[in-house]
This record gives sequence, structure tokens and C-alpha cells, in this order.
Amino acid sequence: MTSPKFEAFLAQLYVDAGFRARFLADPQGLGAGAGLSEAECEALGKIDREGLRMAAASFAAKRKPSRKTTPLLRPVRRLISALRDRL
Amino acid sequence: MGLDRVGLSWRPELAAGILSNLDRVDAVEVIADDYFERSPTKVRALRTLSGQVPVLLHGISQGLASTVAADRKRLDKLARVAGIVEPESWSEHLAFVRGGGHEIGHLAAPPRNRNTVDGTCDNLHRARKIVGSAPMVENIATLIDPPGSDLTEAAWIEQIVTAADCGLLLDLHNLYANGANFGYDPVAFLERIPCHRVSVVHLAGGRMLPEGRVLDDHLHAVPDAVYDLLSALSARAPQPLTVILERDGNYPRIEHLLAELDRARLALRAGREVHVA
Repeated sequence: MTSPKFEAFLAQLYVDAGFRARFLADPQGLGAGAGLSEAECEALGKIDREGLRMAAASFAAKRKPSRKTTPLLRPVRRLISALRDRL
Repeated sequence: MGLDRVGLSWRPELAAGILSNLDRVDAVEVIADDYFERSPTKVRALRTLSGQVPVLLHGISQGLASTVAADRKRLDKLARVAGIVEPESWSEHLAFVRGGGHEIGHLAAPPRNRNTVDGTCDNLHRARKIVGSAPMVENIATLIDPPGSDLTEAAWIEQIVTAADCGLLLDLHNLYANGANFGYDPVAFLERIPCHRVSVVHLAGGRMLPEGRVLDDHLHAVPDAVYDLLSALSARAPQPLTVILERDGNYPRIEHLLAELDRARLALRAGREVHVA
């Protein structure tokens, strides 16, 4: 048991807060709606909810852009880095 | 201590401290992904570095522990960096990092079952063909017990490294964290994995979350329990080990990190004196 579809479902569960909220309201229903197998839906029904919340928060913190570089400055930084590489 | 080595993760913030203390840093581990988009000149700088201290390459974004085939372009980038640097070895995590177009942004534990064993072995075979050598694979820390698992973490790892004939990079803080988070004994875990396949070891520190689970954040000193695990490992793994201390922020003075390396040397030596068959 584990298909690319199941991994895609987990990835969305870890990164998409809205999807996660819908999931927590009806784990097996959302899994079935996504075309997951019965065994996969059953596994989702038994998910470690506390762990899911902590893991999602941890992943979100990792995805946060560095405070050292604002999004607007990032292309400038990349340009400076590319120029420096060529020197 | 024989041929055991103890070194540091290579980070820009630590570079000066490492280069001025090469008599106390036996090896460095470089994040390969940081060089994927760099010019050949920048990558060759790593080759120069490898003339001063042994360099190991470490990947973080391949997502090889998956039922989805590893991305050819990303592996090509790793192969390019490895081809220029010619590291002693390279490694990747037993993690998936994306799925269905969603980038998780960090290492996620896949379901531990026969399908992911097979998918991971296929990806390791693919990586070996493209890069020219197989990676050592690293156990990861997780805050969630991965759903859809019917194998223990130890059994899952053992099946992968045996079937793919890969080396194991054993992260002892990840082992410590998972043991604390999911209620198993990390020393008993060492009895269930093929310790003879371990050649590189990671040490790091983390913190206890308010919810009572350990987060492996690489921002804190190595806890005592992890040094104890290093002794337990070196008692069971007679082959030479390269131990890398990982630090990703909240950087202390280099002397502090060098003292952690010295403590790791002592822990290795203590284990060597107590051989466990």
C-alpha cells in the first residue's frame, strides 16, 4: 500500500492548511474522494493527528523565506551572485 | 581511535573557523544542492577545498524514498557537482519531499511499507547510474508517524540498504528524536539495522516542543544521549566512521563546536573499548 497518488495526498496534507482542515473533518471521505484505495483511506482514518499538526507547522517554518532577504530583493541577490560567479 | 574522523558541516558562517582549525577538523560535508546553480568556477572552489580537507557531498532535495521516479534533471545537477568536486562519497535522505506538484519544503517520512522499499530501491539504482556511484542513505527525523506504514523504521531501512546494496549514513540525533517521539529504544534500534553498512554518522542538537516531541532543528548543542548513542554505535561498528556535526544556525563560537568534536572523539573511543558482537 502506497501509490504516487497517496504520496501526493500526503504532500498536499502537509502544505495546504485548507485541505488539512477539510481532511481532519472527514479523513476517509476526503481520501476516497481523491481516489485512494480502501487500505489507504483506512490508514488516513488512523492518522497521528497531533503529529500531523506539528509536522505541518515545522514544514511551513522551513518553507518561510529567510528574513535576511525580502522577496523583492531576491532577484537582485541572485543577479549579484551570478555576476560574482562570473568574476 | 584508528581511522575514525570527526568533522563539521560546511556552512558559510563556519568556513573561516573551519579553515583556521584544520588540525581539529578531519572532514567537511557540503550541501550539494547549494551548488546546483553555481558556475563551474564556484564548484571548482570545492575541489580546491577537498585538497585541504576531505569533502563529502550531501543532498537534500532528491526525494529518493518514494514510489515516484526520481527527477532526472535534479540528479543530473548532482552528477555535475559530484563530477567536478570528486567527493569521497555522497549521500541523500530516506525521505520524500514533494508529491502531486506540492513541494513540502523539507524532508518528510514516507509510508514505511513494501511499495516504498521497492520505489526507493528503484530510485537508488537510477541515482547510481546517473551519478556514477550509489549514495549513502540517511535516516530522517519525523514528528508524525507516517500513515500507511506496516514496517518498523528499522526493518524498512534494513530492507532498503540490503536490497539496494547501499551504505548507511546514520543520523544519531534523528534516531534519538524518533525514539523519544514514538517510544522506542534507540540502542535496540541499533541491534536491528546493519551497523556494518554505516560509514558516516551525523550528530546534531534539537529542542523539545511544548507538545512533548523532539524537533531536530540543528540549532542547539548535541545532547548527552546522542554522544551515548555514538559510543553504542562504535561498539557495534568496527569499521572506520566519519562523524559530522551538523549545525544550521544559532552559530556559537567555533571553539564551542570544536569542543563538541572533541567530545565526539571521546565517545567514539569509549565505544571502541567495549566491542559488542
